[in-house]
Amino acid sequence: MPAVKKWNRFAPWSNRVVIVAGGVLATVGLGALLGWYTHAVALVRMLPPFVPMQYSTALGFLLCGVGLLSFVYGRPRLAMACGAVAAAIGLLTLIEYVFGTDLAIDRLLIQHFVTAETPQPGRMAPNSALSFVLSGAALLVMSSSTRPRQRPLIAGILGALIIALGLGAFLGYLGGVESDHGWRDLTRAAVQTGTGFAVLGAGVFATAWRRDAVRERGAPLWLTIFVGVMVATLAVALWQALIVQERAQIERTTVAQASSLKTEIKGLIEPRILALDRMAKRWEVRGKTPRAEWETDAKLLLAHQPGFQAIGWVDPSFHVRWIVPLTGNEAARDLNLAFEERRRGALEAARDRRKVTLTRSASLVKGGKGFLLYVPIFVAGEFDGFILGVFSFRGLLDTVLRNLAPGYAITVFDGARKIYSRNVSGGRHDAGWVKKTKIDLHGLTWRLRVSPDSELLAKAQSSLPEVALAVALLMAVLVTLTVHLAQTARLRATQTEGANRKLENEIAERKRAEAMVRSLNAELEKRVIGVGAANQELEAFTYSVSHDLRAPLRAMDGFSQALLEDYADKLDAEGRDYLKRVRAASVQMGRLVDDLLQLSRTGRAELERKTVDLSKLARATSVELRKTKPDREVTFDIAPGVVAKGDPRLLPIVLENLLGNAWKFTSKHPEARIEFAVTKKDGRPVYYVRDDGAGFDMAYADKLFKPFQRLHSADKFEGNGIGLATVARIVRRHGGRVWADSAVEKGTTVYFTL
Amino acid sequence: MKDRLILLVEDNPDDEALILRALRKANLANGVVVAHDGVEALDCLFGTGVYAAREPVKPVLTLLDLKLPKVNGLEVLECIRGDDRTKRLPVVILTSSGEQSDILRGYELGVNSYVCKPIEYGGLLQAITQLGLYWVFLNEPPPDGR
Repeated sequence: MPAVKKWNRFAPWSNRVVIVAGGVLATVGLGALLGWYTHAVALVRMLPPFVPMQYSTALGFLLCGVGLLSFVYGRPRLAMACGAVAAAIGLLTLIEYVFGTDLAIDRLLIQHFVTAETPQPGRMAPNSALSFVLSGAALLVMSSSTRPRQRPLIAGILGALIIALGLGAFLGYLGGVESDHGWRDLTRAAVQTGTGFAVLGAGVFATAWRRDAVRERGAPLWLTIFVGVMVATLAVALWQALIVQERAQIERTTVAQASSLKTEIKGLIEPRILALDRMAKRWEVRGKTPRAEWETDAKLLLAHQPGFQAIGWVDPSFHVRWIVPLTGNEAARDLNLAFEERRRGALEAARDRRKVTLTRSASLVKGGKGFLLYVPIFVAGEFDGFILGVFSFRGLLDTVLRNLAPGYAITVFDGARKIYSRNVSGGRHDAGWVKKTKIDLHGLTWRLRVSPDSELLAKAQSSLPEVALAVALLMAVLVTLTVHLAQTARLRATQTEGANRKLENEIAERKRAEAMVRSLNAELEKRVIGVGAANQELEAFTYSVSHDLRAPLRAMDGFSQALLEDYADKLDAEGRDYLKRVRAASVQMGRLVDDLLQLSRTGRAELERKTVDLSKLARATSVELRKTKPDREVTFDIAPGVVAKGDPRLLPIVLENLLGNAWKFTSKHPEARIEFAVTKKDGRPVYYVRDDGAGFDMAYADKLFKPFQRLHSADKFEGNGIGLATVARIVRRHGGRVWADSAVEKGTTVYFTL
Repeated sequence: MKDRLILLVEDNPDDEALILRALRKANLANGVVVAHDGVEALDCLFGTGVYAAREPVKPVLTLLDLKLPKVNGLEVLECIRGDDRTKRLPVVILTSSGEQSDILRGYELGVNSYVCKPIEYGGLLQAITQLGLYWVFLNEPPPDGR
């Protein structure tokens, strides 16, 4: 059969895939392990830009490769062991990831020396761990002896998942999507690891295929499921990758915004500090700046650099003496800034450190929150108070932040106190997107929090991943459908081919049968013609017999009679006796001829079935028999109303013969009883003729119904042995059966059915 | 009684002898013509063949056997009944055959009587005697003028 050959060609194909995959994996794994042992970084890393392959990953690949190869070489137990170890390594690593524990398996066998960008030295990536769990499970499933039907299916699906994970990692690497070849920013899977898993998945798939190809001589039915799972998994991986990439993009933008805002804020505050510092320096150079000049300077500053609430001069006793503008700040004039111990401490520290000092957030005289800036003045080494800058947070920060980084929520903290915020209440603030940075000011650290608001997020987060997922899933469905249809079509084709062949065979068979029927019919016709001819011959024969056998008999009888009559006086007693014997013999021969003719006639005539009153026939026969010997003491017991369906010309012959026999075989008894009746056997009527005459030995019962067979000698009972043969023939022609029950001197019963 | 002839059609010489003896015993043997086959019987009746020189025989009784050489008894009967000159002649089939088909065919062809030859000579003797007495003496033959 061609189908078997066709699929046998596929078995070596899948075999080759398994061998190549197993070989490559074992080689790569072994190479990396050697690299770990010999500290040959080239072997571990393969190519410089690659992440090094972890020791456990290499071990897993070696185990899986050996496992695949051991299927080809018929060692499922080895495959089972390899699969169990690989699955255990993967499972333990996954447990470590999920529960955040360290089971110390990562550095169990080797000291980790190549530093990969991993949170845990020596630990493989979580997707690698998952792939090893799947691979190990596939090896276990295929090598286990239970549930053989589902094995290739399960292994095929596992293979699909492994291939998809491996391909996902590989494609993610090519596409620069970091999070796809390593989940989150945990261990990044090496690119060779991703490729390795794709190869491993292919090997698992081919092993499963090989199993099915051997068993079912066809593309396995689970191929559809395999393709569907693989494409769907890839689709999900792609979707995840896109989402992660978008997220990363948003995060990068937010970080950039935060950094730029930090620069802006610093750029806002530093020139103002410098301006105040310049005023202080002028004070120091002039000895003491005249008030009018100082006020002009301060006013210019206020006019040119927004953000200042006020500029003042604090004398060494920490009292505010000058203040510009005066309007609104009257309450600050002559205000002792050191009215509070904490402030005095700060002021004294600023004086002693001789450095520009910013205060923490404080309530301003003019109202609102702000901070103060002190620039200490030393005239010829003598402390001469501070140049004071008063800033309100809002007034200062709003000048720059109002129009910067639109769409981002900005919050600035001084310590735990929120000193500025923008947009926060407007959009919903997603803590997950917040980027923080620190701004170091003179002795102070502000914290800046930036996050995109929901509007911006909505704009940045396109529906591309979802659309891609939908399209990819649709493609998965389509590809699966295509594979399914192709497979179904091929199956159909094979089935149709088989059905056609079967049909052809049937047609040929039928033709042969028809030819045979035709030849049989022809033969039958020939035979029928032959039988017809034979029948005609037989008829002619019996006709001849009836004429030509009788004529000589009549002659013998006639001339014997004539001799006796005409020449009696010339014959003695012995001669006359001889002539009498000649006459008796001729009479007997005549009766024999008559009986033979009747026997032959029963076989020839067309059988017709009519209702025949057997009781009436029996009575008529009994009357005839009585006439032959009226002096005999015979009781006829004939059941009334016995009727049967049969030939009205043949049934009388049956009763005549049976009753005649009964009459004959009771003739030696002084009294006799002859019975005709019907009984039932198996629901069918059984007719019988019973006598209490001579009977016969049942040992000879089988001869009873054969022509010319006699059970009594002629000198006891006359007869020629044709009567019962005739009865048997008539009964058989009616489809019935005849049999006898008898015992010597107890009588005979002859039964017959019709 | 001289013109009251019996035509015996019989090919078997034994039967012929026995029948003639029976007729003799019944005093009917005077006017018996014997034909030994069907052709002879027809020649005799129609004055043809070997009987061409003679007047056609008009028997008051024809005893006809069925199994005859050349032309069998039923064919002879058919010819007799098929010809205007002979169609009314009394014909009795006297044969060994008791076949239903022969009896049926004989009556269909218009035989006057069908008698089976008894095997026992006594029976034959009795049958011939009765037939002869009936047809020769008792039965009125069809008129001569037709």
